[in-house]
Amino acid sequence: MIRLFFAAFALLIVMSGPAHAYLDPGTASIMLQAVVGAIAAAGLFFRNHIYRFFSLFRRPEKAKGTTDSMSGGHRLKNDSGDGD
Amino acid sequence: MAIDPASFRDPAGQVHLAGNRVFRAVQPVGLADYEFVRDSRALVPLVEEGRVLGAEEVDAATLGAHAPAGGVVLEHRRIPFWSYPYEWPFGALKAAALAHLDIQIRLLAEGIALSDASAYNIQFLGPRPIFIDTLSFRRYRAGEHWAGHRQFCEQFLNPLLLRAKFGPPFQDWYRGRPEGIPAESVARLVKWRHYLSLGMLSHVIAPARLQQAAGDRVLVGAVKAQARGLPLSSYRAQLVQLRNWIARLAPRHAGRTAWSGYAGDNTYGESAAGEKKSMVAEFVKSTGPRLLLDLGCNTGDYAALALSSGARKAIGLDADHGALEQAFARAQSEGLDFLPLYQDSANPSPGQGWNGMERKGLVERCAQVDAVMALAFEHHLAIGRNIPLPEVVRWITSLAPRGLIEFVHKDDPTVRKMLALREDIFDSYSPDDFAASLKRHARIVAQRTVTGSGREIFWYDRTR
Repeated sequence: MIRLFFAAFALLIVMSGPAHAYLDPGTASIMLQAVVGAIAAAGLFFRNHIYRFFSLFRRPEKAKGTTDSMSGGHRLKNDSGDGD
Repeated sequence: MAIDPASFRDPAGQVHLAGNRVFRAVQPVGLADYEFVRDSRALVPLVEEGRVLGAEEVDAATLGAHAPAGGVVLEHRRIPFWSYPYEWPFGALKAAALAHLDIQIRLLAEGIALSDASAYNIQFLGPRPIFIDTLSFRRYRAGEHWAGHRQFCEQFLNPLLLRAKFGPPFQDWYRGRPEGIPAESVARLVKWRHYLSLGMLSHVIAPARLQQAAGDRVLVGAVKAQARGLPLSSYRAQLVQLRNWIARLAPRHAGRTAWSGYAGDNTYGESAAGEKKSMVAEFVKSTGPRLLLDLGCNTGDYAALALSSGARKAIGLDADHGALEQAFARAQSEGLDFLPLYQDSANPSPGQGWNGMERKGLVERCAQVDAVMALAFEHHLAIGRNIPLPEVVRWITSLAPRGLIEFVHKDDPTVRKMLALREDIFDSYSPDDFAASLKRHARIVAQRTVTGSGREIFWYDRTR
């Protein structure tokens, strides 16, 4: 489902117009952040909830070392909006 | 007192260098944000953990005529050796990228954002990245976009992707364009499978495409997007997404390179390595280097030995990417104060950027180096690159007042291999020629044969 969505997003990008003008390099970044940020946020949200949902069926484990000390206590490995 | 030529672009403040001391003047335009961040005390734990360089407020009069109108002057501890992202091994650029994102993610929760995402705002203490620019931190404004996104991609993400997804090392390309590698360049390399990667789509392919799309319409769209604002959850999510993606990147096809297996299978045996090691240990114990430069550091065996023998810090230079990655990983895992850097000694990093002064040349940055080791190194320049032996000796001895240089003569198996397919044009290449060149610059403290094949190490000192 998610892959399908990427493919649609990809197609949209591929079909966008050819090069003309010079753009301030920040423009594309600003335009995209709303979409990219929303997808990433949705990814994080679902990951967390799917994780929690499945953890209901799991036997309680000892605290796992998922808290990354580099990130000051954010459970990054679980709440990941996946990049790749 | 001089303004650091690397800090002139930031209106919020400049770095001033006075002898051994480093000051940062906070200009009126940066004052409110500086005070907000200072009073939030959000940086305190980051400074304590060594992730952000500490800054202490000092009397503004210290800067004399350069004292800023707002009256705030900061003093930083000095970074012992300055390095640039185009010299970092893959592992170091990755560690720097993660450090940058981790700091951002943590500070965002405290209402603080970063005004830019320059890789040059990170320096290394040993293998540990440290964020040095106090004035990059400012108050987060509700709805703002991540202003540094493009810069982050060009200076951290795209170079890493070049190596991780496509194979070529990023360092030479990055040095040719110190502002970083643009999305358009990386997008030219993508294959169809990369369209299935959310990261590649979001941060490389889509930005590159939009960049090329019709001008004004996109600009209007961007202005509208900016006015609509970006939810904080989206701001944070893109940082977390990038962090998780980068944490998984590794060099592509990073098998064995020419030198990464060298320490295990070099051309001399155990006892020879023992001789060499004892001379390194003796040299270090006797001279007590504070900052040792290891030319041709390979995977860092001799740098590690020097550190355990009493050298305070070590910088290693090598041009082999495989060896450098191993050296960097080892410095991290063994907690060594050792930073291996990519460098072709026949073409050392020049001064670059505005006026050719924004990024300093390698030799200029070696001013604090007080000892050099060039073990199994000289022949790569003298024979491998046709640099006349006296020139090689002059260059090495110019880097530090004391050092060890290994001379590899013509009957050595390695040099024989180097000359196997080419004419021997090296008439003045003997231990005597070497010693004569060395005596022109320094006193020879000791001279010892360290291998059965007759390699010799010369200990020089040009202070007395």
